[in-house]
Amino acid sequence: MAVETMRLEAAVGAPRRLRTFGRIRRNKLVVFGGTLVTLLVLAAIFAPVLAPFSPYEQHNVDQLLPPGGKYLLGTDEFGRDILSRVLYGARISIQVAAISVSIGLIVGGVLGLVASYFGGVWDLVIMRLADILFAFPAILLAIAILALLGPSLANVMIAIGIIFIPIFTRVVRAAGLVISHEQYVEASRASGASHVRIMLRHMLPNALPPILVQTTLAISYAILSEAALSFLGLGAQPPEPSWGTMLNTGRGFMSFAPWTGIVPGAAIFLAVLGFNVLGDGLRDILDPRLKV
Amino acid sequence: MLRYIRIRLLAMIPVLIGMSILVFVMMRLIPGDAAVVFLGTKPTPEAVAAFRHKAGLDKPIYIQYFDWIGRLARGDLGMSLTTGTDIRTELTNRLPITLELTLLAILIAVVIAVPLGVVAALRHNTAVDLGLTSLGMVGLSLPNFWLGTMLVLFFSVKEQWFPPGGFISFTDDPVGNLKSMALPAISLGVVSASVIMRMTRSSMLEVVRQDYVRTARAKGLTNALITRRHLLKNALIPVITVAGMEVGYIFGGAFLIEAVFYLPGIATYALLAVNQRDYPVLQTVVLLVTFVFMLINLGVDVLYTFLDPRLRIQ
Repeated sequence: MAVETMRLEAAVGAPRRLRTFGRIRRNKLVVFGGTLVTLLVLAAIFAPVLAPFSPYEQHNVDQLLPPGGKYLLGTDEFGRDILSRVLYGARISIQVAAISVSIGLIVGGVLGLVASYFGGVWDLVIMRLADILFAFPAILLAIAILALLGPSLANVMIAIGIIFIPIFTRVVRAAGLVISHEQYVEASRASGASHVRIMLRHMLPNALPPILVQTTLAISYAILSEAALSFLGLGAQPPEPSWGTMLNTGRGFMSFAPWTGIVPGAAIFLAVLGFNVLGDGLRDILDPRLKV
Repeated sequence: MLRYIRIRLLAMIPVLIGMSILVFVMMRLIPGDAAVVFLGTKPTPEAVAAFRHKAGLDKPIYIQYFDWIGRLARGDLGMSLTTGTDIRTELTNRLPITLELTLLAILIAVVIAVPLGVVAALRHNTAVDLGLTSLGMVGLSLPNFWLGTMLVLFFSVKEQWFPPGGFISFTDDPVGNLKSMALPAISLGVVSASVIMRMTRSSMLEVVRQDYVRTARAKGLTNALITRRHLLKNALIPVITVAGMEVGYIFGGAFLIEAVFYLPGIATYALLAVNQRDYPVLQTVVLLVTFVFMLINLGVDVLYTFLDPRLRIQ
């Protein structure tokens, strides 16, 4: 059995994977979006090496200096280096995106798999609960959750994660409904495989393409939402170098130090653009029916 | 059609009940006693007991829920804990501002998006198409609160063409009202314009491949006539759906834009309530806004069914 599987993979699987990889490499959207995303991730990982100063270090004689010289992107009202703060801000964005999307993906994924696999009452209850969460405007739900939990970065991750739960539930359920009627699932069931094994070994891997596309788009939404909630004062609190908090405080100095608002906003824009373009490219390759 | 609307309205009831329970429980779980918020940091135990009795907070939680729902059904939205003002009066003053902002934003979005989407589709695979598609992606990734801040910087601070914030009532000064709403509406509308433009383009491209378009071309109709009579009519149906969905998103996005432009709309009211832990205001606003959001989505679905005769038959 194992040998046969290996042969089959050698004959069909590997070249198909290579073809997909080739298509991914040739897709200009994926290359452009992937480059932006890679730069963002590298900035986040190597922030301590790349940043010329500590993001919290105040230089009292260098307040609100324009970009150039010692401070490539200028300084803020406390004389802190904006470049260093933006680089460390990438860490916050990536961290929030990773954790909130994981919450949505894991909880929503399990609920979607259970709803599509078991159907009946399970499907009815799970999907009605998803409908209730889906009925709220996303930002309003996040604000209500933050009113309950209190403003902090950790709570922003939870709030955004909860917003993602019904989205991933729907995506995984839709894919799972198709897969659960496939012959290989029937065969696995007939051979006595457990429910968990069928869901994790057969249904989940085959539902991956739409999940992957949704994950990329969710990351861009998470970065945008974190910035928005911090901008409203409900997320990261000063002096945390969150891009949203920086933009909010920078607004007060826009008339004479516009870089304090332009730079963090541009960082949010480029990060969101990167993930949006990458998501679009992946969708074209993995789910061409949804091509826009 | 009426049956469809009835079914959809009935289907909204369980979601509304579930939503109201969720909102009510969440607001009751907010740390900090409402009495402390209302009476100050060191109230006497007697004052706290009297307040809790007056506000009905000493009753079992399910009784409090039914009291609240009952009052809502009678149009009594309650009082603000911090200001003591009637929530209904506040909402009556604030909701029109948020609705005006939403309507202006969707108008701007559609006016920009549909012509650009049509041009991109008609010039498919050319530099024009590539440029417009790229522009759409840029618009889609712009944080509206940053765009708003940038618009203030260029058009209010540097050029002084528009006020940087605040609200002027339409009845007091129509021109002043439009000037005060222009930048907020553009900030909100640009992101939606990108979504609608992408939809218009892909929908037009879908219709171009249809047999009836080929037949029209074979009959010798001019391109302008084919575009007007065959392409637009069919391509715009999904565009209207997306535009309608965007109304909902814009309504949600107003929470950020009202904060940027200091507009005294419903979103500013909710944010103030969050900061002051004024849960009666917050729970009513959350429920009301979500209800309006659901009604908008229902309206879009009904319009979609109305516009596409094939769906009506189904």
